[in-house]
Amino acid sequence: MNFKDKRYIVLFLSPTVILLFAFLLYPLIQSVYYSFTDWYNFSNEKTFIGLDNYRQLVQDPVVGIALRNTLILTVGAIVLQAGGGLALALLTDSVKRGFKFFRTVYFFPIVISGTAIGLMFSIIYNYDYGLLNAIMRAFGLPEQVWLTEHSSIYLVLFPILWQYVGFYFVIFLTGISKIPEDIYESAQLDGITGIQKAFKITIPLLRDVIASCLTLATAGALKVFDVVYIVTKGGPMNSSELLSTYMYDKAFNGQNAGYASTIVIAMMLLGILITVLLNKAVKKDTISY
Amino acid sequence: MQIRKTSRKMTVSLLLVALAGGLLAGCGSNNKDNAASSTQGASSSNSGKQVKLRAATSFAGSDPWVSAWTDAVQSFQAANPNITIVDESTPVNQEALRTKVKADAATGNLADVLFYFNGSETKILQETNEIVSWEDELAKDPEWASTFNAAILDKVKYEDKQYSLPYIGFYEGLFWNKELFDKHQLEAPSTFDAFMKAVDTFAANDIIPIATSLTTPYIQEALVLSQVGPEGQKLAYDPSWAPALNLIKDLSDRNAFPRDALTLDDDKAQALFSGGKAAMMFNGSWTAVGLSSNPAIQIAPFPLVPSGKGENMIVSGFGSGWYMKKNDDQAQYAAALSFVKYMTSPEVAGKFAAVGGTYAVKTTDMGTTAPLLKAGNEMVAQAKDFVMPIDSFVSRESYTDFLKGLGYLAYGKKTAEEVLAQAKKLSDRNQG
Repeated sequence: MNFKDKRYIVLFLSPTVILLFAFLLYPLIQSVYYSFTDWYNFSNEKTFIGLDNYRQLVQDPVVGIALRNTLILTVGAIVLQAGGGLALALLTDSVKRGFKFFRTVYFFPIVISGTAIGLMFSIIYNYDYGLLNAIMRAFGLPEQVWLTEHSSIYLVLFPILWQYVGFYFVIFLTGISKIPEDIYESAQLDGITGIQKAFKITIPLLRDVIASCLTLATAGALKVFDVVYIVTKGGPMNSSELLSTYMYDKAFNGQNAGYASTIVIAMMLLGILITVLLNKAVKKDTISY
Repeated sequence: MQIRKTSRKMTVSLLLVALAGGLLAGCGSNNKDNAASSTQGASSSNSGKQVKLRAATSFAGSDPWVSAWTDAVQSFQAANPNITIVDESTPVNQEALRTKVKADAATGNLADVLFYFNGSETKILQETNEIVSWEDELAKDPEWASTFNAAILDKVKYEDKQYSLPYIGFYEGLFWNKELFDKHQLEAPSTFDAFMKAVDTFAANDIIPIATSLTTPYIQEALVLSQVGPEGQKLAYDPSWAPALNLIKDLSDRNAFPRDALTLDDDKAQALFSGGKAAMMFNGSWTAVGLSSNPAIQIAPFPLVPSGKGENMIVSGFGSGWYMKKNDDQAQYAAALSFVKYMTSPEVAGKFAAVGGTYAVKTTDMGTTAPLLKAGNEMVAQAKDFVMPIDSFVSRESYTDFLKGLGYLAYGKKTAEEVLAQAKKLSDRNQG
């Protein structure tokens, strides 16, 4: 490339780079600084307190609950969201009629906003007016309190997973459609069953797609906020608290932005750690066919 | 090569022309507005200079006074064509208004006129040294000053200075459904015994005794005030509050609250009460407007708890007031002052009063005030004393932690002493 071309590249990349720096990198560096300060009420005073916020973070029981919940969410996302998407794609692919119908139905929840889904489920789980208790009443069963401190994270997991299963479903479906027909034909001549076809041919050939979907699912699970906050606000007695909801609560309800910045740094480090581990786990040679 | 160069030059020049045209179009209309208003301004009694006032209030979103506010702003602009109001009002929920004003204060970018919280929030505004103290203006205009209730003016002073002009007050009271009480032959909940009898009777009859979310502070405030009175309430998180907090656990054990109170939000709790599924609700005057159409709903002060000191005490206050920014520009200052005087005039205040609340200024009765609203105002007038809620003089972090702790307490996961100690620790840390 000669110098003239490079000039245009720089020119067209610069707006994005400037925006990225101004709204992502610079605030991140500032957050690292704020995490070492006592900063209340978004005031002008920020007193440097060294590692006190981090000490509080380590001793905070709510952070422990949040980490446990994040783990549950990540495992749920990998197994049920990506895994569920894969299972649905395999099933839909083998269906002869109604292929387009299933594809639309499974993809549909993605276009609904997370806030709307949250509101809908908070009404479904409501004790007096909710749908679940109405069904219980219709069958003559006693009404239940659905959101308890033991069940809240699992009940909140359901709408989160349901919303994005369709996304992975569509990705896998596309991946499956790229596999050449002749592999299946030659396997059929050898007398292969449906399940063997799925496990011995389709899944191994989809390894790249599975790897990228796992990364996406994990990243998605780490940044969930809206559905959890709307349904439980962190749940009965902090039981469905995530790092993101706890950070929001500390920053805006508690007006303690210093400690909230510490939580942000913790979130970031956790995300990097999980992503690095995941990349190591799925790193294999690429497949070509 | 030649053709490619010229076509690229043409595309670039077309884009530039479109961009320039867009910018000029915008400028053009501004110029026209300025020209028109300056000619109009010259003929009005004001100085004729185009003044832009930024106003940041809480009248936004689902606030009940939004329409009264926007009408008042429009009629002010119609009467004063040289003044434009830039409405920066932000809703109070999710702490949006607090965050906005605090960020504005920190960056030296406060609006000209604010309708914002009193109490601990005044400190933050006062520290900017940019807000006016109203004593001088009140002294200059005694007629305007006389429309304010002197006792209330006194209550909202900060460090003995009048930084905020009180306006709309709120009160919190025990709303109860007379129809449900009569149906179960219960007397009005004016004593603690009658209150507890009602709780037990309703719980046994599948009616929710008290509609409340355990994430909102209202009934907790009522119990604490009833137990320790105004003096005790000022001692943040004092161990003397423990009996009141233990009452919360007691009520929760007796199924006084909705079963999912820990994840219920305030709107749903209000819906339970207005829908007749709950018999009582301790909430604020802002909910009275929605309930006023049902003649069965009554309001009363919270009963005195056993060995309590807060008899006939109301949680009430003038939690917000009008602030004004200092300004060297005379025209700007005069415009802001005339706007505040307009908003606090009896006619405009009367329009706000028709929506609800209790007022620190004289209001012209619009003749449409519902009986429940009148009853609420009576309750405040007959109260022995009124105090601001706890959150107006403690740090927000300790307060949110305290409320969360009460949720744990209601389900027996923490003791009252633990909750108070933790909140006190946070409060001390926030002060120091």
